[in-house]
Amino acid sequence: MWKTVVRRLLIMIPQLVALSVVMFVIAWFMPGDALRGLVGPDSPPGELTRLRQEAGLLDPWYVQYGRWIRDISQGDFGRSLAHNVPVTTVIGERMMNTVRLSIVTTFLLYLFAIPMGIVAGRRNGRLPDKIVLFYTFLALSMPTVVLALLMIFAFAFNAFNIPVDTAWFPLPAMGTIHVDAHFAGGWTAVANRIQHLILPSVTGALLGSVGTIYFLRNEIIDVQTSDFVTTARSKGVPEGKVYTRHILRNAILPVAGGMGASIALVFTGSIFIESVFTYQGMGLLFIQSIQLRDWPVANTLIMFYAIIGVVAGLLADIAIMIVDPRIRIK
Amino acid sequence: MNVNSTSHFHAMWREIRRDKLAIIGLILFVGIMLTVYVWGFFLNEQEAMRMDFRNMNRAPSAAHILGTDDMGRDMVQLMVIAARNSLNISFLVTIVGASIGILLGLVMGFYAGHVDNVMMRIVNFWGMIPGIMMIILLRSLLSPATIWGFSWIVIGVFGWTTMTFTIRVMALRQGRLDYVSASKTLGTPNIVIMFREVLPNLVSILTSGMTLVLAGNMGLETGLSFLGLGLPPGTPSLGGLLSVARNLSTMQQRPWQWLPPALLVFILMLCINFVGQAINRSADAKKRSV
Repeated sequence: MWKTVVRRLLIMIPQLVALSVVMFVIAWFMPGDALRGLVGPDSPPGELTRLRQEAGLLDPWYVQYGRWIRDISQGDFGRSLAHNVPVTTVIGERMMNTVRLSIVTTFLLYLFAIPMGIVAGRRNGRLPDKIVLFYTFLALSMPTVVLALLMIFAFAFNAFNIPVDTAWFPLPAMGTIHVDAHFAGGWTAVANRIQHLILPSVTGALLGSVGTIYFLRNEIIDVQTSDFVTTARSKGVPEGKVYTRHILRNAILPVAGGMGASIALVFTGSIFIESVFTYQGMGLLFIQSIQLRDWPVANTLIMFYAIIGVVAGLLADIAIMIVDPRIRIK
Repeated sequence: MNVNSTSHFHAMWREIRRDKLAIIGLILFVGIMLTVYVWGFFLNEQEAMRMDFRNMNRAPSAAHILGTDDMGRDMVQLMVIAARNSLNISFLVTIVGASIGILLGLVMGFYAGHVDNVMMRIVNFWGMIPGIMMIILLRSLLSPATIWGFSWIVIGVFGWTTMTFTIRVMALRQGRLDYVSASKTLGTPNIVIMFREVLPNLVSILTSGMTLVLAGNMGLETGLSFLGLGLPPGTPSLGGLLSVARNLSTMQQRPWQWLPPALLVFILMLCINFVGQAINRSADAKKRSV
């Protein structure tokens, strides 16, 4: 088992190197930079060139790339051109917000998807199955931004005039925590954070659950007709136990396998969700740094998301190895 | 082999006809498409896009059924143009992307072995890059001025990978079948086997894959244009119209400016997915209704 893991890790290295070259070359060709903004009409002539020279932006690309790689290996991802602080600081400020959002989203995703998948698979072809399938169509056809906007409209603005004093959820422009709650600290702060998390995470979970529902449903339908289930039934195992012990144990395997893809999906989806809810996470940071032409930050974020994708895939493979003994022996 | 592909379309049509949702979806989709393209053809685009500051932010009325936007333009006309642009770009990305995917997938699946191995490494590497972020990055780097320019970015980054995987797997399976080796023994050129003999067998899977990708591309365009990182400015699209909802007072007080385009995208994608599901069933003998 560890051999497979190590081999997969080794394959990752050339991929990441290739990725870094691609990213760097693209960024190098990018027109305009944030330094232009630092030069005013009363700056001495040649000030822009001097600033660029100082930042090392005039060196040939391979020199810049070499410097970039050397710095990365020392944990230095460069300085943000727009905020003039290290990239790691800028990203670090936002990272926990996205991680928090992703954990809650993934949790809700499986909370929605597993019961729905089981019901649809077990009542295959009947009304519950049809309802779940219809739901998956709705979710599949809903662009992330549209659902996010509808959520804000319905719940944050209280568009349906539900008789309460205020809207249920904070308006998106407030960020991740209200200032008063932040200074109040303790449970007030935690409650306020959760309140800010609910709408974005429910949006992400509703849309992300489709794949898992399909996986689980198809797998249950397949396993239901296999010989060992018939044997279990004929030897008198109660129907409920047939499902929990025999069918689910097997059907849950591809769900574990799809977990990597789900987590990667949640992270990438966070770009749209965070932007609509103005949730102060890495996805929103990416959009903002693109708009500010702050390419060290954008570049690092793409690398970071790529690495998350790869690691999620690796973890999913390990998860399958743990739950499925057949693969472990190979 | 022509007989073969017509029978595929026959099976697809049978599945669509039997599925109430699919037939409703198909009629609605064709209806919206005809409306949008025919109306869009007769519409004076410059007139529709002209700003009219005396009629800004008007609520729906007899003169403007869906009201006007923040520049006094009629929402219905704006939506026709926007929907046409969104449909154009979705079709363009899907068809060109699928063509590239078919070509690569067939070559990989047919030759298998080393060719497949090397190409798979490259495709896998490409799959590792977060697609949406890459599109956004290239979009702001190249700042394309036309629909074409933007489409090429999306195609290049994103459009071709899904189809390549699908076709590759299917072509690998077909390549092991007897008719392919028989044809090889007879001396049929490889290119003929690939496109005249293997490809027609993949028509159903191809069509079902393409409908799903079409809906996906529509969603992608909506998201990117919403962020202002999609179509170039001055080219309305459904996602672009939505972006007025980023202003919170617009969202609350003037829902006619963003709710109709939002629902239109949703309905279009829903129709495509309903039809796609029926076609998908026809591609998979296990799921086919008897």
